[in-house]
Amino acid sequence: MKTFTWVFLMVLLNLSTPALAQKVEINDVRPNPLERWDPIAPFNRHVYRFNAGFDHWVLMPVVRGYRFIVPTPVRKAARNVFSNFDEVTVFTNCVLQLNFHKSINTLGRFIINSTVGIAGIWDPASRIGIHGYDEDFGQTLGHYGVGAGPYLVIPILGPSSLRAGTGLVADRLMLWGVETAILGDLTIVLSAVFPVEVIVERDGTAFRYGELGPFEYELVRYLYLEYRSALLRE
Amino acid sequence: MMQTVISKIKTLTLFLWAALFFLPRFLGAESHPALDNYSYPIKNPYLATVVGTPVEDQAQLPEKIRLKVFNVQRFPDRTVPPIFWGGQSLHYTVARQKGPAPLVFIIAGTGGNHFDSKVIFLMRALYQAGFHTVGISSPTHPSFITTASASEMPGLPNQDAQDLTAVMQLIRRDLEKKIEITSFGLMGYSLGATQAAFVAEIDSRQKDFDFQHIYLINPAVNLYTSAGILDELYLSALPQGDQSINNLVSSSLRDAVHYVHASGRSPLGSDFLYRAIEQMHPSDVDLEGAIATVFRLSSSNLSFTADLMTGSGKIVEPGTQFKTGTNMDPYFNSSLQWSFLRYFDELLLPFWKARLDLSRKELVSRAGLAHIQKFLKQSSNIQVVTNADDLILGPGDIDFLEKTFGDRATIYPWGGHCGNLEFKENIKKMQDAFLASKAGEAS
Repeated sequence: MKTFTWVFLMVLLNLSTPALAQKVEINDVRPNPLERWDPIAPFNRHVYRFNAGFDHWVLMPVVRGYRFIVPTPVRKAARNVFSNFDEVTVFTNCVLQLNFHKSINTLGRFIINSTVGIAGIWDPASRIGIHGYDEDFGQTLGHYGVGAGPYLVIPILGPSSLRAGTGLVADRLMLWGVETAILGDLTIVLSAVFPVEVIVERDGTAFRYGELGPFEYELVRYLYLEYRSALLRE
Repeated sequence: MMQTVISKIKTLTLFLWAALFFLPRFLGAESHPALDNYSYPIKNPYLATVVGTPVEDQAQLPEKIRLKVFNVQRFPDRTVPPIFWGGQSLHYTVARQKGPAPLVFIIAGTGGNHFDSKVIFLMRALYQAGFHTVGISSPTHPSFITTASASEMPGLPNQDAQDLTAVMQLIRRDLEKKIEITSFGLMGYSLGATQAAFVAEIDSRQKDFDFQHIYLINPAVNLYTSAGILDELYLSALPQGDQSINNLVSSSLRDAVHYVHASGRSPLGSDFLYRAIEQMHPSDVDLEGAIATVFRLSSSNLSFTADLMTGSGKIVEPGTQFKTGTNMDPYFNSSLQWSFLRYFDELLLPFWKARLDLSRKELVSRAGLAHIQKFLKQSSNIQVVTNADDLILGPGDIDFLEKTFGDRATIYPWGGHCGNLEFKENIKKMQDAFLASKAGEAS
């Protein structure tokens, strides 16, 4: 699954190269402060549209089934478990950023929530004031001065940037490495969980495609990139 | 001497007591006894408009109701550019009761669609009270303009109401195959309320639906006045236009991210927005900026869509072909410069001038409830609720509502623009109004 994502991303990046040569729009009006650099826009726009279709015809029907079958508290627990799993990624990146405070904090959270919170179903760490951070390899790259790179809409997963997308792959490979080290051949079982994670994540996201009008792509791009830069500054 | 003073004070006190006791009755305040201790918690109209009602003060409604999204096609042969998703189909949301029940249509506010959180909240509230409910997108929403507006140039309430009536007839025809509808009701908020009043007026002549009850929440009394107020808000709160939007968005996101980190990752419930904003202590200018931004996005979408669909050529060169991969950035940029009044003056006015030979003055007068005041005055089944501090109302608008609707008007002392729509007391009043009409019909 992870290898597939990796290969997929490489293909995607190769695909996108010709689009870079796309003719530059001659604009006689002053630049729009809400516009963002998007050299592979035609590609991104198609993927965005594909994602909307995928969301409507595949993902949301599955999510609706999931909501129908699984009661709310269980779904919340599922979200928490995956979020707890994420702490491994957060921890690694805090270490990579040499942020001692955040690393210890995240490690403490992970240990407490995995044990007392039973695999992360509950979040006792927050109750005693140990709050979570949101770090990933994309932010680590940003921390060391790597630029965000072009905006990138990843199939199925949605808005990203070259840096965030690369970070995503790196984080996944890292998790995969950790899993292999601990579970050996059983890793394949955990990989099968990835689609479940996508469904659980989608269930927890209120966004609906196609509601923001003709400039939805531009608005999502703007808000996503602003959000990422706010995360990086934090 | 002393005696006289004391007796004077006594008389005065008595008089005061008497005044306090009797005056409200003469002033008609007794018809709104609930307002004496109105407890909606947010008294800042801008904050109320942005955050709405805190979860603990919202009406208790069923968490899960079965919502279905269906669609109708009013103009199946119309060419709709692929940048508007959904093609010729206008989507709407339905919550159906198992047995026979009255059906209430709910019209979304400016730029809102049928799945807007306010629409869904009102649908849940009426579903709880035993009604079928249908949520309809605002005639100013791009999907409505492209699929259901005959003129493709919304903004003239009477025309919009004709479009809404046609859409409601199509929806009714489809739904009657699936459910038993005993009678009809109508509700709208913000611009949707203004439009609902015009729909009611049309129906009083056509008698298609014979609405039992019509409930208007925070209507714009005159679209032109409200448009002017919102444009003014944009200019004062966002003096550098879209550059100011950018500054506001990036500083709010920074605060929001900080808040999320400070509060831990898991407790993000439905009251997240409220809690976050409460923590962020936004200034009034920021709140005004946020409101102005949301409305500016609506006027941009509206202007672009109407211009493109009618081939008016103000934003889009007529004949331009749009595909999925088309670079929309230049259009996004120019559309952002379109305020409501600019839409009114440069698109709406020339369009209707050419077709109905309307002067600017006539257009403005047709854009308000005053145009159908006589009808509103004599229709005992139309009720209006608004707030004394609703920011889209101009001077004299509250007076107009009170004069026109009499005791069918409820003016809450505060709540901003639709901020108290989800408040338990407001919802109860609305449910009771529809239930009373249902009971009246049964007897």
